[in-house]
Amino acid sequence: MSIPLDDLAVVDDLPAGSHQRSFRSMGTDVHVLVVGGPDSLLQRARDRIEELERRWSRFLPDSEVSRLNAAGGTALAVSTDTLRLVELARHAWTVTDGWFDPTVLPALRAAGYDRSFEQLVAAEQGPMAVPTPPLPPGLAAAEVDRAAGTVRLPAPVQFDPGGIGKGLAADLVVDEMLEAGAEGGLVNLGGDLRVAGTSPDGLGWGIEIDTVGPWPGQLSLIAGAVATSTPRRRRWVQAGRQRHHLIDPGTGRPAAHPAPAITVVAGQAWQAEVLATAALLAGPRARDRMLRDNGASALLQFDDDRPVALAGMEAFLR
Amino acid sequence: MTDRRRPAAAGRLLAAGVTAATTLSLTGLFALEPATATDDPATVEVDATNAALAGSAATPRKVVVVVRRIHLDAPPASSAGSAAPRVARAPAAPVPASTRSQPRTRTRGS
Repeated sequence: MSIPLDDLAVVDDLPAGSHQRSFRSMGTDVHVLVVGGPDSLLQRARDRIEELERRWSRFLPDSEVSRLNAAGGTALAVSTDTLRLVELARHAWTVTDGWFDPTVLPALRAAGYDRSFEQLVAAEQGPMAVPTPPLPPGLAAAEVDRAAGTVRLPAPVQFDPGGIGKGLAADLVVDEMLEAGAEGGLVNLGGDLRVAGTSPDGLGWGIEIDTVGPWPGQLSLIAGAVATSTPRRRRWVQAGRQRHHLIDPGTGRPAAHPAPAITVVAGQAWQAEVLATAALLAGPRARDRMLRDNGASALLQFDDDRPVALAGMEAFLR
Repeated sequence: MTDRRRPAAAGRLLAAGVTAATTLSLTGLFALEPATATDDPATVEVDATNAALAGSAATPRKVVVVVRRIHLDAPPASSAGSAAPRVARAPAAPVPASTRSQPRTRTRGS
């Protein structure tokens, strides 16, 4: 079987009863694999991911997230998906002590990331003047009213679902595939990955992770999620200086010396994404506490040295 | 251990602002199942004081429960209502496989 897209999906012959598809959505490469269930599940998964993109993309002016950011503090009616997204984002911001902060969007724009990443790279050079970045306000004052079906973001808050949106999308789609009759499922949204149920060979889900050093990385898990955060992937030049997308919430600027990469294994993909971002930005003590408190494990990667397994990651490495 | 402790512990947690849908785990002493049937994935770990549990007829038992930490998988309290989370069946923690499996996909950093 040949998969035409990208470097994301593994070219792989699947046992009978398993099907997969790769496509572009949410500004990234998507890989969906389903075991058992009706033939329509792959298309339903794609339709669902594209629906979530229409609701959550900050690059679509009519998306619910764009409308919330433009609402100037007014409560807006949104879908239950977006209610859930904002609830989880606020919760993640709280329990990571703000290290995961989805309100860094103005700071990210100040660092030059003011268009889609494809356009940013094509432009090659950001603005010459470097504005002073605003400090991210956090999500403490965001209001989610489930009864009314509304979300209100205070005026300074610019919400960027980014990674947590991709992670939650992977969680939602995998759960919905199983509810619709699949025996197992995998959704990989640009590296935010969730697996559940029976794998194609029934032995567990093998996941190959991208490593920055000369070390192969393969994980095996029965159920759970994987996400890797790295300042290496999304880089651009602003006024002659290299920039990356990992904003330190304490300064509003790209983090000064983050580790090259960290891969987190957690129960759900949105958790893995949140913890990967927070763990890369926080110091070792806060990082280890966050992993331990959330039943997650991690692989901290370096350029020239062996990766370090944290919080029981050895159990997942193969 | 009597059943009366369960509502006592649950009541303390409710007073502390934790929903009755919470799964309780009293470290090193005993485990409580969810106070009410729920698909809420919230997990709270609590400490209970041994001395407080060693009561007698003369000194009525009292359970003191301290919320130690709330896990990331706890859904946040909504401003109103408490609709069931969409990812209720998700595992609280990942489960490693005991055997090496053929890679099915490749992830990259973001």
